[in-house]
Amino acid sequence: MIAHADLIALATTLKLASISTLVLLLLCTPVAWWLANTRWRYKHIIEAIVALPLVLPPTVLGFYLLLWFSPQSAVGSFYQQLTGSTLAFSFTGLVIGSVIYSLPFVLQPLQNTFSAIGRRPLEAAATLGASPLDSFFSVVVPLAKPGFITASALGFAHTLGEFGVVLMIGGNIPGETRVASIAIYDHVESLQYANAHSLALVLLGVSFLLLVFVYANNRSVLVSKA
Amino acid sequence: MLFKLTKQPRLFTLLSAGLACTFAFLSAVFTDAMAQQSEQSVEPITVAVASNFIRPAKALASEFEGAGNTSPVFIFGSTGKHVAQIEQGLAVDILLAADKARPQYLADKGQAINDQRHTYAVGRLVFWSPGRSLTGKSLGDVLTPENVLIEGTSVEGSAKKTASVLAMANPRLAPYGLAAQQVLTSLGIEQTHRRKYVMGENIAQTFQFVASGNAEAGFVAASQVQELPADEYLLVPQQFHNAIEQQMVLLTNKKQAKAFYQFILSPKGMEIIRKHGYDTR
Repeated sequence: MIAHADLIALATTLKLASISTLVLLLLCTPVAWWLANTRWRYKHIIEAIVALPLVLPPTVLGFYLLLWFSPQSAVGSFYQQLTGSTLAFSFTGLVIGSVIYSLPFVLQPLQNTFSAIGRRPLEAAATLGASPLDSFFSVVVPLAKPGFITASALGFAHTLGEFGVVLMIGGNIPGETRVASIAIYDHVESLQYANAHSLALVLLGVSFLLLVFVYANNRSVLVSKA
Repeated sequence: MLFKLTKQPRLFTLLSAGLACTFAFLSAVFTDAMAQQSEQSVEPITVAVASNFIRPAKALASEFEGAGNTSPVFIFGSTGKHVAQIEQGLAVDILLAADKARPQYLADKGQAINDQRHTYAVGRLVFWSPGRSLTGKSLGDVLTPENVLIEGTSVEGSAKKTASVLAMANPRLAPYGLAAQQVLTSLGIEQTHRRKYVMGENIAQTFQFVASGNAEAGFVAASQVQELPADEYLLVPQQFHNAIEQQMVLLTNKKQAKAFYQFILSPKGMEIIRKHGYDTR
Protein backbone atom coordinates (compact mmCIF):
# COMPACT_ATOMS: atom_id res chain seq x y z
CA MET A 1 0.00 0.00 0.00
CA ILE A 2 2.82 2.36 0.90
CA ALA A 3 5.90 2.74 -1.25
CA HIS A 4 9.35 2.26 0.22
CA ALA A 5 10.26 5.90 -0.45
CA ASP A 6 7.22 7.01 1.52
CA LEU A 7 8.18 4.85 4.48
CA ILE A 8 11.61 6.51 4.49
CA ALA A 9 9.92 9.92 4.43
CA LEU A 10 7.75 8.88 7.36
CA ALA A 11 10.80 7.72 9.30
CA THR A 12 12.57 11.02 8.58
CA THR A 13 9.55 12.90 9.89
CA LEU A 14 9.46 10.89 13.13
CA LYS A 15 13.20 11.33 13.61
CA LEU A 16 12.95 15.07 13.00
CA ALA A 17 10.02 15.48 15.39
CA SER A 18 11.70 13.45 18.15
CA ILE A 19 15.04 15.22 17.96
CA SER A 20 13.46 18.67 17.68
CA THR A 21 11.20 18.00 20.67
CA LEU A 22 14.17 16.85 22.72
CA VAL A 23 16.22 19.92 21.81
CA LEU A 24 13.23 22.15 22.53
CA LEU A 25 12.69 20.64 25.99
CA LEU A 26 16.35 21.17 26.89
CA LEU A 27 16.28 24.70 25.56
CA CYS A 28 12.88 25.81 26.82
CA THR A 29 12.96 24.44 30.36
CA PRO A 30 15.50 26.97 31.71
CA VAL A 31 14.06 29.82 29.66
CA ALA A 32 10.49 29.05 30.75
CA TRP A 33 11.60 28.75 34.37
CA TRP A 34 13.38 32.09 34.16
CA LEU A 35 10.40 33.78 32.50
CA ALA A 36 8.03 32.35 35.11
CA ASN A 37 10.11 33.60 38.01
CA THR A 38 11.99 36.70 36.95
CA ARG A 39 10.90 40.10 38.20
CA TRP A 40 12.80 41.81 35.40
CA ARG A 41 10.82 44.80 34.14
CA TYR A 42 11.26 44.02 30.46
CA LYS A 43 10.57 40.30 30.44
CA HIS A 44 7.52 40.86 28.25
CA ILE A 45 9.91 41.81 25.42
CA ILE A 46 11.46 38.34 25.61
CA GLU A 47 7.98 36.82 25.77
CA ALA A 48 7.01 38.70 22.63
CA ILE A 49 10.16 37.60 20.80
CA VAL A 50 9.62 33.92 21.52
CA ALA A 51 6.03 34.19 20.28
CA LEU A 52 7.16 35.67 16.96
CA PRO A 53 7.50 32.33 15.08
CA LEU A 54 3.69 32.23 15.31
CA VAL A 55 3.45 35.41 13.28
CA LEU A 56 5.49 34.67 10.17
CA PRO A 57 3.98 32.26 7.66
CA PRO A 58 6.14 29.11 7.66
CA THR A 59 7.34 29.56 4.08
CA VAL A 60 8.40 33.12 4.88
CA LEU A 61 10.21 31.94 8.00
CA GLY A 62 11.84 29.28 5.82
CA PHE A 63 12.88 31.85 3.25
CA TYR A 64 14.70 33.92 5.87
CA LEU A 65 16.31 30.80 7.29
CA LEU A 66 17.53 30.04 3.77
CA LEU A 67 19.15 33.47 3.55
CA TRP A 68 20.59 33.02 7.02
CA PHE A 69 22.03 29.58 6.20
CA SER A 70 23.71 30.84 3.04
CA PRO A 71 27.53 30.69 2.97
CA GLN A 72 27.32 34.39 2.10
CA SER A 73 25.87 35.18 5.53
CA ALA A 74 27.86 35.22 8.77
CA VAL A 75 26.05 32.26 10.32
CA GLY A 76 26.21 30.13 7.18
CA SER A 77 29.88 30.79 6.50
CA PHE A 78 30.82 30.10 10.13
CA TYR A 79 29.03 26.75 9.96
CA GLN A 80 30.62 25.94 6.62
CA GLN A 81 34.12 26.61 7.92
CA LEU A 82 33.38 24.47 10.93
CA THR A 83 31.90 21.46 9.15
CA GLY A 84 32.57 21.87 5.43
CA SER A 85 28.93 21.59 4.51
CA THR A 86 26.01 23.97 4.30
CA LEU A 87 23.17 24.14 6.80
CA ALA A 88 20.56 24.37 4.10
CA PHE A 89 19.59 21.02 2.59
CA SER A 90 20.77 19.11 5.66
CA PHE A 91 19.01 17.33 8.50
CA THR A 92 20.76 19.60 11.01
CA GLY A 93 19.32 22.59 9.19
CA LEU A 94 15.85 21.08 9.46
CA VAL A 95 16.28 20.57 13.20
CA ILE A 96 17.26 24.23 13.62
CA GLY A 97 14.27 25.30 11.52
CA SER A 98 11.87 23.07 13.48
CA VAL A 99 13.18 24.28 16.82
CA ILE A 100 12.48 27.89 15.86
CA TYR A 101 9.16 27.00 14.28
CA SER A 102 7.84 25.00 17.24
CA LEU A 103 9.40 27.09 20.01
CA PRO A 104 6.25 28.84 21.28
CA PHE A 105 4.40 25.53 21.44
CA VAL A 106 6.86 24.12 23.94
CA LEU A 107 7.79 27.27 25.81
CA GLN A 108 4.33 28.60 26.60
CA PRO A 109 2.88 25.49 28.32
CA LEU A 110 6.08 25.12 30.34
CA GLN A 111 6.05 28.75 31.41
CA ASN A 112 2.40 28.56 32.43
CA THR A 113 3.02 25.39 34.41
CA PHE A 114 6.00 26.87 36.22
CA SER A 115 4.03 30.03 36.98
CA ALA A 116 1.22 27.95 38.46
CA ILE A 117 3.61 26.02 40.66
CA GLY A 118 5.12 29.24 41.96
CA ARG A 119 8.09 29.59 44.27
CA ARG A 120 6.58 28.14 47.44
CA PRO A 121 7.44 24.47 46.90
CA LEU A 122 11.00 25.54 46.12
CA GLU A 123 11.22 27.66 49.25
CA ALA A 124 9.94 24.76 51.30
CA ALA A 125 12.59 22.51 49.78
CA ALA A 126 15.24 25.13 50.48
CA THR A 127 14.31 25.28 54.18
CA LEU A 128 14.82 21.52 54.23
CA GLY A 129 18.33 22.09 52.94
CA ALA A 130 17.96 21.13 49.28
CA SER A 131 20.20 22.90 46.77
CA PRO A 132 18.37 24.95 44.07
CA LEU A 133 19.23 22.39 41.37
CA ASP A 134 18.23 19.47 43.57
CA SER A 135 14.92 21.05 44.50
CA PHE A 136 14.23 21.88 40.84
CA PHE A 137 14.68 18.29 39.76
CA SER A 138 13.05 16.56 42.74
CA VAL A 139 10.26 19.05 43.39
CA VAL A 140 9.45 21.17 40.35
CA VAL A 141 9.94 18.60 37.59
CA PRO A 142 7.57 16.00 39.12
CA LEU A 143 5.01 18.71 39.83
CA ALA A 144 5.33 20.05 36.30
CA LYS A 145 5.01 16.64 34.64
CA PRO A 146 1.64 17.39 33.00
CA GLY A 147 3.12 20.60 31.64
CA PHE A 148 6.11 18.75 30.22
CA ILE A 149 3.81 16.20 28.61
CA THR A 150 1.63 18.86 27.02
CA ALA A 151 4.68 20.79 25.82
CA SER A 152 6.25 17.67 24.29
CA ALA A 153 3.02 16.62 22.63
CA LEU A 154 2.44 20.06 21.12
CA GLY A 155 6.06 20.44 20.00
CA PHE A 156 6.12 16.94 18.53
CA ALA A 157 2.78 17.25 16.76
CA HIS A 158 3.59 20.69 15.42
CA THR A 159 6.87 19.42 13.95
CA LEU A 160 5.15 16.37 12.42
CA GLY A 161 2.92 18.69 10.45
CA GLU A 162 5.71 21.06 9.54
CA PHE A 163 5.72 21.82 5.85
CA GLY A 164 6.52 25.35 4.76
CA VAL A 165 9.83 25.66 6.55
CA VAL A 166 11.05 22.28 5.28
CA LEU A 167 9.88 23.10 1.76
CA MET A 168 12.08 26.19 1.76
CA ILE A 169 15.25 24.88 3.38
CA GLY A 170 15.05 21.12 2.76
CA GLY A 171 15.77 20.53 -0.92
CA ASN A 172 13.80 17.27 -1.00
CA ILE A 173 16.72 14.87 -0.41
CA PRO A 174 15.46 11.31 0.25
CA GLY A 175 16.32 10.04 3.71
CA GLU A 176 17.60 13.40 4.86
CA THR A 177 15.23 16.28 4.21
CA ARG A 178 12.33 14.62 2.43
CA VAL A 179 9.74 14.41 5.21
CA ALA A 180 6.26 12.91 5.01
CA SER A 181 4.46 16.22 4.54
CA ILE A 182 6.69 17.01 1.54
CA ALA A 183 6.15 13.52 0.11
CA ILE A 184 2.38 13.96 0.40
CA TYR A 185 2.64 17.34 -1.30
CA ASP A 186 4.70 15.83 -4.15
CA HIS A 187 2.02 13.19 -4.68
CA VAL A 188 -0.74 15.79 -4.73
CA GLU A 189 1.17 18.05 -7.12
CA SER A 190 1.82 15.20 -9.53
CA LEU A 191 -1.86 14.22 -9.32
CA GLN A 192 -1.12 10.87 -7.64
CA TYR A 193 -3.93 11.28 -5.20
CA ALA A 194 -4.12 7.62 -4.13
CA ASN A 195 -0.52 7.67 -2.88
CA ALA A 196 -1.17 10.99 -1.15
CA HIS A 197 -4.24 9.61 0.61
CA SER A 198 -2.52 6.51 1.95
CA LEU A 199 0.55 8.38 3.20
CA ALA A 200 -1.59 11.09 4.81
CA LEU A 201 -3.70 8.40 6.44
CA VAL A 202 -0.63 6.69 7.88
CA LEU A 203 0.81 10.00 9.12
CA LEU A 204 -2.49 10.86 10.79
CA GLY A 205 -2.84 7.37 12.27
CA VAL A 206 0.66 7.31 13.72
CA SER A 207 0.29 10.83 15.12
CA PHE A 208 -3.09 10.02 16.62
CA LEU A 209 -1.77 6.93 18.39
CA LEU A 210 1.22 8.84 19.75
CA LEU A 211 -0.93 11.67 21.02
CA VAL A 212 -3.45 9.28 22.59
CA PHE A 213 -0.56 7.55 24.34
CA VAL A 214 0.84 10.85 25.61
CA TYR A 215 -2.48 12.20 26.85
CA ALA A 216 -3.39 8.87 28.44
CA ASN A 217 -0.19 9.14 30.46
CA ASN A 218 -1.03 12.68 31.36
CA ARG A 219 -4.40 11.52 32.67
CA SER A 220 -2.95 8.77 34.78
CA VAL A 221 -0.70 11.35 36.43
CA LEU A 222 -3.68 13.44 37.36
CA VAL A 223 -5.68 10.43 38.48
CA SER A 224 -2.89 9.13 40.68
CA LYS A 225 -2.57 12.53 42.28
CA ALA A 226 -6.27 12.72 43.09
CA MET B 1 -3.36 29.50 27.07
CA LEU B 2 -1.13 31.27 24.66
CA PHE B 3 -1.92 34.79 25.72
CA LYS B 4 -2.42 36.07 29.20
CA LEU B 5 -4.51 39.13 29.91
CA THR B 6 -2.47 42.00 31.19
CA LYS B 7 -2.92 43.36 34.66
CA GLN B 8 -4.52 46.51 33.29
CA PRO B 9 -7.81 45.25 31.89
CA ARG B 10 -8.99 48.76 31.01
CA LEU B 11 -5.93 49.53 28.96
CA PHE B 12 -6.22 46.14 27.30
CA THR B 13 -9.87 46.68 26.44
CA LEU B 14 -9.15 50.12 25.07
CA LEU B 15 -6.30 48.80 22.96
CA SER B 16 -8.32 45.94 21.50
CA ALA B 17 -11.25 48.25 20.80
CA GLY B 18 -8.87 50.62 19.00
CA LEU B 19 -7.38 47.78 16.97
CA ALA B 20 -10.82 46.45 16.06
CA CYS B 21 -11.89 49.90 14.85
CA THR B 22 -8.74 50.25 12.76
CA PHE B 23 -9.28 46.87 11.11
CA ALA B 24 -12.94 47.60 10.45
CA PHE B 25 -12.02 50.90 8.85
CA LEU B 26 -9.25 49.42 6.72
CA SER B 27 -11.36 46.52 5.49
CA ALA B 28 -14.18 48.92 4.59
CA VAL B 29 -11.75 51.02 2.56
CA PHE B 30 -10.34 47.97 0.77
CA THR B 31 -13.74 46.49 -0.04
CA ASP B 32 -14.78 49.83 -1.45
CA ALA B 33 -11.67 50.09 -3.59
CA MET B 34 -12.17 46.58 -4.90
CA ALA B 35 -15.83 47.22 -5.69
CA GLN B 36 -14.85 50.28 -7.69
CA GLN B 37 -12.27 48.33 -9.61
CA SER B 38 -14.70 45.63 -10.62
CA GLU B 39 -17.22 48.22 -11.80
CA GLN B 40 -14.67 49.60 -14.22
CA SER B 41 -13.84 46.34 -15.96
CA VAL B 42 -15.94 45.05 -18.84
CA GLU B 43 -16.18 41.37 -18.09
CA PRO B 44 -13.81 40.05 -15.44
CA ILE B 45 -11.78 36.99 -16.36
CA THR B 46 -9.60 34.84 -14.18
CA VAL B 47 -6.44 33.24 -15.52
CA ALA B 48 -4.43 30.61 -13.65
CA VAL B 49 -0.75 31.03 -14.52
CA ALA B 50 2.22 28.73 -13.89
CA SER B 51 4.78 30.32 -11.57
CA ASN B 52 7.49 30.48 -14.24
CA PHE B 53 5.29 32.65 -16.47
CA ILE B 54 4.43 35.46 -14.02
CA ARG B 55 6.34 38.24 -15.74
CA PRO B 56 5.30 37.58 -19.34
CA ALA B 57 1.71 37.09 -18.15
CA LYS B 58 1.73 40.55 -16.60
CA ALA B 59 3.26 42.05 -19.74
CA LEU B 60 0.61 40.34 -21.90
CA ALA B 61 -2.15 41.60 -19.61
CA SER B 62 -1.04 45.22 -19.71
CA GLU B 63 -0.88 45.13 -23.51
CA PHE B 64 -4.31 43.45 -23.66
CA GLU B 65 -5.76 45.98 -21.24
CA GLY B 66 -4.24 48.84 -23.21
CA ALA B 67 -6.36 47.80 -26.18
CA GLY B 68 -9.52 48.50 -24.18
CA ASN B 69 -10.09 45.00 -22.89
CA THR B 70 -10.68 43.70 -19.41
CA SER B 71 -7.87 43.42 -16.91
CA PRO B 72 -7.36 39.68 -16.34
CA VAL B 73 -7.21 38.58 -12.71
CA PHE B 74 -4.25 36.24 -12.26
CA ILE B 75 -3.88 33.32 -9.91
CA PHE B 76 -0.20 32.42 -9.84
CA GLY B 77 0.93 29.04 -8.61
CA SER B 78 1.93 25.56 -9.57
CA THR B 79 0.00 23.89 -12.36
CA GLY B 80 -0.58 20.80 -10.20
CA LYS B 81 -2.39 22.88 -7.60
CA HIS B 82 -4.34 24.75 -10.24
CA VAL B 83 -5.56 21.56 -11.90
CA ALA B 84 -6.65 20.12 -8.55
CA GLN B 85 -8.50 23.34 -7.72
CA ILE B 86 -10.14 23.61 -11.15
CA GLU B 87 -11.37 20.04 -10.81
CA GLN B 88 -12.89 20.99 -7.48
CA GLY B 89 -14.75 23.90 -8.99
CA LEU B 90 -12.39 26.88 -8.92
CA ALA B 91 -13.75 29.32 -11.50
CA VAL B 92 -10.91 29.88 -13.95
CA ASP B 93 -11.33 30.95 -17.56
CA ILE B 94 -7.91 30.08 -18.93
CA LEU B 95 -5.14 27.90 -17.56
CA LEU B 96 -1.59 28.73 -18.64
CA ALA B 97 0.16 25.53 -17.61
CA ALA B 98 3.82 24.73 -17.15
CA ASP B 99 3.62 21.61 -19.30
CA LYS B 100 1.38 19.96 -21.84
CA ALA B 101 0.42 16.86 -19.86
CA ARG B 102 -1.90 18.61 -17.49
CA PRO B 103 -3.84 20.69 -20.04
CA GLN B 104 -4.22 17.37 -21.86
CA TYR B 105 -5.54 15.85 -18.62
CA LEU B 106 -8.18 18.61 -18.31
CA ALA B 107 -9.11 18.27 -21.99
CA ASP B 108 -9.52 14.52 -21.58
CA LYS B 109 -11.93 15.21 -18.74
CA GLY B 110 -13.98 17.36 -21.06
CA GLN B 111 -13.15 20.66 -19.38
CA ALA B 112 -11.67 22.37 -22.44
CA ILE B 113 -13.99 24.48 -24.60
CA ASN B 114 -13.98 23.06 -28.16
CA ASP B 115 -10.85 21.16 -27.15
CA GLN B 116 -8.96 24.48 -27.33
CA ARG B 117 -5.42 23.67 -26.28
CA HIS B 118 -2.30 25.37 -27.65
CA THR B 119 1.41 25.55 -27.02
CA TYR B 120 1.97 29.18 -26.06
CA ALA B 121 5.63 28.98 -25.05
CA VAL B 122 8.58 26.63 -25.22
CA GLY B 123 10.76 26.95 -22.16
CA ARG B 124 14.55 27.04 -22.38
CA LEU B 125 16.76 25.64 -19.68
CA VAL B 126 19.96 27.37 -18.53
CA PHE B 127 22.81 26.22 -16.34
CA TRP B 128 23.36 29.09 -13.92
CA SER B 129 26.36 29.54 -11.71
CA PRO B 130 26.65 33.07 -10.32
CA GLY B 131 29.99 34.48 -9.31
CA ARG B 132 31.99 32.54 -11.88
CA SER B 133 32.50 33.36 -15.51
CA LEU B 134 31.26 30.73 -17.94
CA THR B 135 32.30 32.67 -21.04
CA GLY B 136 33.60 30.45 -23.83
CA LYS B 137 32.70 27.26 -21.99
CA SER B 138 30.26 24.61 -23.01
CA LEU B 139 28.03 22.63 -20.73
CA GLY B 140 30.25 19.59 -21.26
CA ASP B 141 33.24 21.57 -19.91
CA VAL B 142 31.62 22.40 -16.61
CA LEU B 143 29.68 19.20 -16.06
CA THR B 144 31.53 16.00 -16.86
CA PRO B 145 31.33 12.53 -15.35
CA GLU B 146 35.01 12.69 -14.33
CA ASN B 147 34.92 16.16 -12.90
CA VAL B 148 32.27 15.39 -10.36
CA LEU B 149 32.77 18.68 -8.64
CA ILE B 150 31.79 21.70 -10.62
CA GLU B 151 34.84 23.24 -12.16
CA GLY B 152 36.27 26.10 -10.19
CA THR B 153 34.85 24.91 -6.92
CA SER B 154 36.79 21.68 -6.76
CA VAL B 155 38.69 21.71 -3.51
CA GLU B 156 40.23 18.29 -3.66
CA GLY B 157 43.61 18.36 -2.01
CA SER B 158 42.80 21.44 -0.01
CA ALA B 159 42.19 21.19 3.70
CA LYS B 160 38.58 22.18 3.53
CA LYS B 161 36.39 19.80 1.62
CA THR B 162 33.21 21.37 0.47
CA ALA B 163 30.52 19.33 -1.13
CA SER B 164 29.22 21.11 -4.16
CA VAL B 165 25.50 21.61 -4.29
CA LEU B 166 23.63 21.54 -7.57
CA ALA B 167 20.03 22.70 -7.61
CA MET B 168 17.31 21.58 -9.97
CA ALA B 169 13.54 21.51 -9.87
CA ASN B 170 11.84 18.31 -8.81
CA PRO B 171 11.53 16.21 -12.02
CA ARG B 172 8.26 14.75 -10.77
CA LEU B 173 6.63 18.14 -10.36
CA ALA B 174 8.28 20.63 -12.68
CA PRO B 175 8.94 20.30 -16.42
CA TYR B 176 12.19 22.22 -16.00
CA GLY B 177 13.25 19.62 -13.44
CA LEU B 178 12.47 16.81 -15.83
CA ALA B 179 14.51 18.55 -18.52
CA ALA B 180 17.42 19.03 -16.10
CA GLN B 181 17.35 15.34 -15.31
CA GLN B 182 17.41 14.52 -19.03
CA VAL B 183 20.44 16.81 -19.45
CA LEU B 184 22.35 14.98 -16.72
CA THR B 185 21.49 11.66 -18.33
CA SER B 186 22.54 12.92 -21.78
CA LEU B 187 25.89 14.02 -20.37
CA GLY B 188 26.33 10.63 -18.72
CA ILE B 189 26.43 12.07 -15.24
CA GLU B 190 25.24 9.75 -12.53
CA GLN B 191 24.03 11.06 -9.23
CA THR B 192 26.96 10.55 -6.90
CA HIS B 193 27.41 11.12 -3.23
CA ARG B 194 30.13 13.63 -3.94
CA ARG B 195 27.79 16.09 -5.46
CA LYS B 196 24.68 16.99 -3.57
CA TYR B 197 21.53 17.39 -5.61
CA VAL B 198 18.81 19.49 -4.11
CA MET B 199 15.38 19.82 -5.59
CA GLY B 200 13.12 22.81 -5.53
CA GLU B 201 9.38 22.33 -5.58
CA ASN B 202 9.23 24.58 -8.62
CA ILE B 203 11.59 26.55 -10.79
CA ALA B 204 11.16 29.73 -8.70
CA GLN B 205 12.34 27.94 -5.58
CA THR B 206 15.24 26.41 -7.48
CA PHE B 207 16.24 29.92 -8.48
CA GLN B 208 16.12 30.96 -4.81
CA PHE B 209 18.40 28.09 -3.79
CA VAL B 210 21.09 29.39 -6.15
CA ALA B 211 20.41 33.12 -5.70
CA SER B 212 20.72 32.85 -1.91
CA GLY B 213 24.11 31.18 -2.34
CA ASN B 214 23.07 27.90 -0.72
CA ALA B 215 23.60 26.03 -3.97
CA GLU B 216 26.58 26.88 -6.17
CA ALA B 217 24.87 26.20 -9.43
CA GLY B 218 21.59 25.04 -10.78
CA PHE B 219 19.35 24.42 -13.73
CA VAL B 220 16.83 27.23 -13.98
CA ALA B 221 14.60 28.76 -16.66
CA ALA B 222 16.04 31.13 -19.26
CA SER B 223 13.20 33.51 -18.47
CA GLN B 224 14.54 33.89 -14.93
CA VAL B 225 18.04 35.01 -15.88
CA GLN B 226 17.11 37.61 -18.51
CA GLU B 227 18.40 40.49 -16.41
CA LEU B 228 21.55 38.78 -15.12
CA PRO B 229 25.08 39.10 -16.58
CA ALA B 230 25.30 36.84 -19.62
CA ASP B 231 28.53 35.14 -18.50
CA GLU B 232 26.85 33.68 -15.40
CA TYR B 233 24.76 31.19 -17.32
CA LEU B 234 24.85 28.81 -20.28
CA LEU B 235 21.86 28.15 -22.47
CA VAL B 236 21.41 24.39 -22.54
CA PRO B 237 21.31 23.13 -26.16
CA GLN B 238 17.90 21.74 -26.92
CA GLN B 239 19.20 18.37 -28.08
CA PHE B 240 20.00 17.51 -24.45
CA HIS B 241 16.37 17.38 -23.36
CA ASN B 242 12.82 17.06 -24.65
CA ALA B 243 11.18 20.37 -25.49
CA ILE B 244 9.59 22.08 -22.50
CA GLU B 245 6.26 22.78 -24.12
CA GLN B 246 3.89 24.92 -22.11
CA GLN B 247 0.28 24.65 -23.14
CA MET B 248 -2.80 26.65 -22.29
CA VAL B 249 -6.38 25.59 -22.27
CA LEU B 250 -9.59 27.58 -22.60
CA LEU B 251 -12.07 26.59 -19.89
CA THR B 252 -15.08 28.89 -20.38
CA ASN B 253 -17.05 30.52 -23.17
CA LYS B 254 -16.61 34.12 -21.99
CA LYS B 255 -15.95 36.59 -24.78
CA GLN B 256 -13.07 38.27 -22.99
CA ALA B 257 -11.52 34.91 -22.16
CA LYS B 258 -11.55 33.95 -25.83
CA ALA B 259 -10.13 37.36 -26.73
CA PHE B 260 -7.25 37.04 -24.27
CA TYR B 261 -6.58 33.48 -25.46
CA GLN B 262 -6.43 34.68 -29.07
CA PHE B 263 -4.29 37.67 -28.08
CA ILE B 264 -1.68 35.38 -26.50
CA LEU B 265 -1.47 33.43 -29.78
CA SER B 266 -1.30 36.59 -31.91
CA PRO B 267 2.04 37.76 -33.39
CA LYS B 268 2.10 40.59 -30.82
CA GLY B 269 1.56 38.13 -27.96
CA MET B 270 4.20 35.75 -29.27
CA GLU B 271 6.68 38.63 -29.52
CA ILE B 272 6.12 39.54 -25.86
CA ILE B 273 6.62 35.91 -24.86
CA ARG B 274 9.88 35.62 -26.85
CA LYS B 275 11.15 38.83 -25.22
CA HIS B 276 10.94 37.06 -21.87
CA GLY B 277 13.28 34.25 -22.80
CA TYR B 278 10.91 31.66 -24.27
CA ASP B 279 10.77 30.15 -27.72
CA THR B 280 7.46 29.96 -29.52
CA ARG B 281 6.02 27.59 -32.05
